Amino acid sequence: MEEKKDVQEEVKEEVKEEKASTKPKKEKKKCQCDENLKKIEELQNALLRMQADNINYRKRKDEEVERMLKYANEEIVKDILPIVDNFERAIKLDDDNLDDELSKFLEGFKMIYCHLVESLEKYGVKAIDGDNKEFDPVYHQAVLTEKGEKPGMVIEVMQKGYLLKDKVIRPAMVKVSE
Amino acid sequence: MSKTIGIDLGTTNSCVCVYEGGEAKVIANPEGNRTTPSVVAFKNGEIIVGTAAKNQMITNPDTISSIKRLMGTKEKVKANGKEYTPEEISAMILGDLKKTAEAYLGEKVTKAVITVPAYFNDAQRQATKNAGKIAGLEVERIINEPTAAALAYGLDKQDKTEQILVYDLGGGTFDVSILEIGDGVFEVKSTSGNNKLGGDDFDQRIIDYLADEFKKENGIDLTKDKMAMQRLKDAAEKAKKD
Repeated sequence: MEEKKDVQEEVKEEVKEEKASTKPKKEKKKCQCDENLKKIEELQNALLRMQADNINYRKRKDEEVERMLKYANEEIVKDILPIVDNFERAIKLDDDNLDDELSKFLEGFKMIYCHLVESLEKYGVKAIDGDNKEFDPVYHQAVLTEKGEKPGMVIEVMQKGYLLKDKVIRPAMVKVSE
Repeated sequence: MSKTIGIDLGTTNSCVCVYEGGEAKVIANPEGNRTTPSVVAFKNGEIIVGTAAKNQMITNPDTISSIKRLMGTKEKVKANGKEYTPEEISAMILGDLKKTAEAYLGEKVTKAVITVPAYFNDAQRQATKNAGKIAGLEVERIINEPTAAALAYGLDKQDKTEQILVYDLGGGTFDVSILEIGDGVFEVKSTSGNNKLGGDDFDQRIIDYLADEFKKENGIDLTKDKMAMQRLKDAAEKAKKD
C-alpha cells in the first residue's frame, strides 16, 4: 500500500512535471503563431504595395509610350527645319520686280517651300508667332536687345520658332526691346 | 511609402531620376527634356526655372546661372531687389526637379539623393543638403558624382578590386576621378579637373576656327554679325555632337 501510494505520487509528480513542461511549449507555439501572423500581414501589405506600384508603373509606361508616339517625329522635324530656314532665306532675296531672272528662278523655290511647309503642317508642325508680340520666354529665346518704345516686346524674329503639336521644339530667336 | 528621387545638380544642367522596374530612369521635364538648365530668373514676382529662364537671360538682369560654383561660400547673389544665398537659389532648382518627379510619379516626393563633385568639401556638401531641405526634400544621402557614374555602369557588381577612372566633361566643368572599387565599397583615390573648362569651350574653339576660315576665304568678318554668330554657334555645337 505504501509503495503503491508512493508510485501514485511519483506518477502525479511526473504528470505535474509534464504539465509544467508543456506550458512553455504551448506559449512557444502561440508565440510562433503570432510571429507567423505578423509575417503574413507584413507580406500581404508588401504584396498590396507591390501591386499598387505595378499598376502605377504600367500607367506611367502607357503615358510615356503615348507621349513618345505623339512626338515621335521630333528629331526628323528638327533636322528638316534648317532646310525650311534656307528656303526662306533664298526666297527673301526676291524683290518687288517679279519678272526678272532671279524671280523666275525663285518661283520654283517658292513652290517647293510651300509644299514642304504644307507637309510639315500635316504632321502638326506650326511656326511660332513672334513679331510685335510680348516676349514670352517659353516660346522665344532672346538673342539681342535694343532700346524700344515699349519694353519686353519682340521687335524682330531672327529665326523662326516651331511647335510640334503643343511642344516647343525650337524657340524663336528674337530681338527684344528694353 | 514615398519614393526617393536621385538628383544630379549640375553647374549648367540638372537632371532627376527615379528607381523603377529595377533601374534608374531619367524623368523628362514638362517641356519633354531630360535635362533642365540650372538657371533661375525672377520676373514680376514670379520665379522661372529652366529653359524659359535661360531663354530670357539677356533681357533680365535678375537671372542667375552657375550657382553651383558658389555653393558652400558666404557669397550671396542679388536679384529681385533681394539677396539670396546659393542654397536658396539651388533650392529653387531642386524644387523644380521635385515638381517634375511628382508630376511623373503622381505622388508627393519628400526624399532625395543628390550627387556632388568628389572634390566638394564639408561646407559645400552641407550647403547642398541645406538646399534640399529648403526645397522640402529630406536628403537621404549625398553621393560623389564619379561614384554615382560608376554605380550607373554597374561597376559595383564585380568580384575583384579594381581601379577605374571616371571622366566627366560637363557643359562648363571638367572632372576626372580615380576610384577604387572592391566588395561594393567605393573609395575616391584622387580627383582633379578644371572647373572653367567644358563643352562650351569646345564649341567656342570650333566657332573661332570657322569664323577665321570664313574670313580668310571670303573676307567677311562674321563676328560682327550677331545673327550669323548665333547660327555658327548652333552649327558648331551640332558638329561637335556629330
